[in-house]
Amino acid sequence: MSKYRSSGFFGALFLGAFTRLFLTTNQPLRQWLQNRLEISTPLTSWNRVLEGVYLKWSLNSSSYDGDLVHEIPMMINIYHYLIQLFTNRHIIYFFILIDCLNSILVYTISYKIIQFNCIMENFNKTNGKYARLFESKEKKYDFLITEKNFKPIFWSLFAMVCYLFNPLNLACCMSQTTVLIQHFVLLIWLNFLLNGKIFMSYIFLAIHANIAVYSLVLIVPSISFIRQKKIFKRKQIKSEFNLISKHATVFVLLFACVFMFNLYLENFNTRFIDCTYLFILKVRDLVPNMGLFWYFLTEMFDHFITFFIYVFQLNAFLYSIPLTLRLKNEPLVNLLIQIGLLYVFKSYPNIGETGLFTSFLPCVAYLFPLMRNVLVFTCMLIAGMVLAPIMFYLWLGSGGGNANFYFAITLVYSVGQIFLLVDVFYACLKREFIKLNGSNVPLNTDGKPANFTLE
Amino acid sequence: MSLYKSDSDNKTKLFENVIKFGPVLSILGYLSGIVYFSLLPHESLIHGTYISENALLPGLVTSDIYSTDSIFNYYHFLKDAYENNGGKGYNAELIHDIFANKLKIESYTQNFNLSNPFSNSETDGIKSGTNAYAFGRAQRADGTESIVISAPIYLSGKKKKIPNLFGISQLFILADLAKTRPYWAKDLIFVATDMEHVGIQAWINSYFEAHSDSIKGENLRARGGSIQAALNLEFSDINTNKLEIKLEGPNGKLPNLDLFNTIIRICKSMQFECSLESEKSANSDFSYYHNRPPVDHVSGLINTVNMMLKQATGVPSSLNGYFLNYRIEALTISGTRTSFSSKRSQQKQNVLKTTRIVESTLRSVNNLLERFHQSFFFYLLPSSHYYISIGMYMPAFGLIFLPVLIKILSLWFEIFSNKKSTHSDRNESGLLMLDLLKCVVIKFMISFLFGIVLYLGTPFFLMFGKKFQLSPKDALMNCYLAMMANILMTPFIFRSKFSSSGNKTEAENINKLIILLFLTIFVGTISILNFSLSFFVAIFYSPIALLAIQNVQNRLAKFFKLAMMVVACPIVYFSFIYLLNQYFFENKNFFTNPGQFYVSLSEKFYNFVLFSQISQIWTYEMINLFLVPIWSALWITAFN
Repeated sequence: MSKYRSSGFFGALFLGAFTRLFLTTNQPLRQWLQNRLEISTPLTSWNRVLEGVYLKWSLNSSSYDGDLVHEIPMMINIYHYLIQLFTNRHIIYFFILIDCLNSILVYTISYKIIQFNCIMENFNKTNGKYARLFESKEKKYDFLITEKNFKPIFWSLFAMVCYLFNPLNLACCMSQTTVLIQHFVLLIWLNFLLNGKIFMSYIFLAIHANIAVYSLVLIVPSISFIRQKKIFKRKQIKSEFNLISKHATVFVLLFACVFMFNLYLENFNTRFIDCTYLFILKVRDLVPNMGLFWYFLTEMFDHFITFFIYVFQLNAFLYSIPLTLRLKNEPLVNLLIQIGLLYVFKSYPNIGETGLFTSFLPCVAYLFPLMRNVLVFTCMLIAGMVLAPIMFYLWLGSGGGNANFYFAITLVYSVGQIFLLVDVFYACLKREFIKLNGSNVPLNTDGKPANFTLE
Repeated sequence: MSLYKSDSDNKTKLFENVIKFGPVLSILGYLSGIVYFSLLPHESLIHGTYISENALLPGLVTSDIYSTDSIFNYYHFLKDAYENNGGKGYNAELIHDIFANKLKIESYTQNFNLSNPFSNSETDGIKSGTNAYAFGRAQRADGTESIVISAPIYLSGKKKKIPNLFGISQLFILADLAKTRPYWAKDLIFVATDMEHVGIQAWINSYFEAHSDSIKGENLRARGGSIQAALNLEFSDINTNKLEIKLEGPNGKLPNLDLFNTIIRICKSMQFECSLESEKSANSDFSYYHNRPPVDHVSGLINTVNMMLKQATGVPSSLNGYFLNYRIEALTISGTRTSFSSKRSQQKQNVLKTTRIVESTLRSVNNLLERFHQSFFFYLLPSSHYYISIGMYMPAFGLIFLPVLIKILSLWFEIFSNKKSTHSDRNESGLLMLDLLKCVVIKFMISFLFGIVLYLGTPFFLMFGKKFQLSPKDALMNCYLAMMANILMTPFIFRSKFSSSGNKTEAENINKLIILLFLTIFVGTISILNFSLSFFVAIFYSPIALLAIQNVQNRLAKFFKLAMMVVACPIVYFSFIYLLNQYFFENKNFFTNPGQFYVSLSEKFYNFVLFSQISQIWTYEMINLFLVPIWSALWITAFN
């Protein structure tokens, strides 16, 4: 475990924990953050968890009476024990602990991702896949990343710092949203996946998919990653179909197991299905958030809503397979892009999810020189984050504005995220093109140099 | 062209153009922004006000006030109470008594306390007062909506408090109407408030059960429906022949323009002179026959700037402002006297007209079917008949801020093109990080530390002052200036720390970029909340920021740069604006005796800080938390 033995790692961890502990003393700030819609969405609000716990253990009724609680029974049970363990006053320390664990996981995962990418490129290089790159006129010897020119220790530490000091993540930690726990589950999944413990990783993905239904699609990039790893370990893949169906079956079975466990916890009362899975899919709660759903659905006539919900929800599931097919040689970039896409097209997005996704960007920092719109999406994201509370205030606080003000900003924020993802995708494709075809600019049929566009 | 580059050739060309024409474009943009802004009140760009909400129907009702007798009765009754017994008889109890026993409407009093927000002891310096409030319930309505008519019992005068006798008497006349007439669709709530800005806040906060740290009011015993509008009446004298309308609310909020237009329209139909507060106009004789007076460019510009100066402080111009905090459109109608005709018949006419104007406005608001939502919430007023909407003035602001945006773009490109050329030595990335840590992170941490100290420090400053037996205003001003001196000294102390080794320009560029981005975010954010404040910040800090990050070799130029940076210190800059404001609008010449200016300034400063704390005005905090750190970072950068 030599990779942890750096002063930077401990320094960042300590400083991050200290910042969080320091911020806990600011009670009004925490109160304000807890009531922010961008952080406390119906799926992640801590107050709703308290309500669920109270309903179940103090009133001896179901947590799902009253349509306020949308956590799955398993998580409600876990939170109940946590509250008993820490008491509600001190639960914030548990959240700080989880956030620090998350940052450590971000560190190890980033380390693994970079290491894997380096090894994979080296592997392909020795196999002669990149022959044309070395034949091309304009040479750049460090174009392929190795552990020497793209130091995993440095960049994963950078990713960890990005996670620890991202204001979005700090805000999430201070407001005690359960999104941190969801991140924790997701990160454990990634960690197990990257370390090759596939069964364990599927268990955690199944749990996460039960919490937020959208994560179901993450099985596609996971299988792609496993396939790539097999190729790279020179294992013979007898039949691609067999591999996919085997893994998919295992995952579906695990998902069903977690679901049955939840059902058992609820004494086989099926009401929670409506309150969790269907609540996410049907988008019943149209309270404003940073997502794309609420405004469209409030503006729409009722009889169109079903159709548009189908169309909108399709977005979240649609891109998984095409992206995986296109990026089958870059399974880790594929993973990151897909996690990001889920967070954009979710029905109840939380800003902490953007925080988690963006903190993984240092792992693919070698793509940045190839990106086109860095300035554009940076400005869009900053504008979105800064102006969202202000536009909200203008709309509902001072009354000078209206719902369009806030919606415009959420749109800017979402489009900024999409620009970011598309840019990562573009840069990745361009890099792959250069690796395979060399850096000579190919000519069009009319003899002029061709343009590289994303179509 | 190389595939290794991220951008296509077109984009590279664009960036090259930006770098090539950037300086010219910046200067052009800045100057044209100022020119465009000063042209805004010109005939060709300006728009006349109009009433957007059809339901208001101003001036269409027949007045129910026929004679001035009862007004004068109430007036003399209050005047007697004020003049006998040293003014002690004229208070909320008396007003409550008239409401309850003479007019026989629902009436209550409310006690409240004001404690000094900066003193630790609980009992020290607590002042208390009493409000009176009464409800004229609408007979035939369901009581779901209401209108507030408020009047302070005393007005703040130049030397002593002036009783608002005429304003309070009007409350009684209107209360009588509310009780006897069947046409009211909304409850009328009459509020007579004590202690100027404090009383009204105590009442409103209690009405909405909002919490305030320094003002503690009793719970109210009755409420009306949801409040649609509020009028605040301030008459220092019964002999008024002109009404002035005050608009500006706290933190740059403005009431809906429709309410203002209604009053102007009603005054017009009554042929009574009416204008903005301290409005200047070229043709002082009011033309009754024009629907709109002709546009006057120069005075229009002066009025606009005057309004912006008032808005920029964030301090409400009168008591109406506190209603705006709760989305209630509110105005202050204050009476002034321009000529001294003491003809009694004329005076009676004016009294009758004034009361009828207030009544007619209430009846217009009474017609409303929904909340004020048409018309404008963001506007500037060059005169009472013309307005500049947000769509007109925002481009001027954008142009003025254009230089900073262009600089950000070119800095960004410089950093990225640099990165491409030094792409090969990735080993330097670690070194760059070290540089950044040295150059940027430390600088910003120190700068923001100063900001936080200033933000949290006011009570401590006053405590130090007490130790050294200074008056609070001197203590605050001296401590603040001492902090500024600290910031000015910082680069001398940390000189070696800030200078970076290795790849210097890159870290420096990133540093500059971050400062400019911070400035942009700050100014852009404030421009939505309080346009005037951000305008005054942008018009000065946009060129200053560019000057500060410019590398100059010439000694003289460097001296000029540093001198400008000292002027750019927020307190110096805002004092300068205050000085100009006093000179041009209040006709006080402080240029000749700076000592008096300092005394006046420190008093104003202390009052402003105290007032901000009591009334939750964030101008001071925003400047401390964001503008001071930005300036401090600029200063440190300028020094290296």
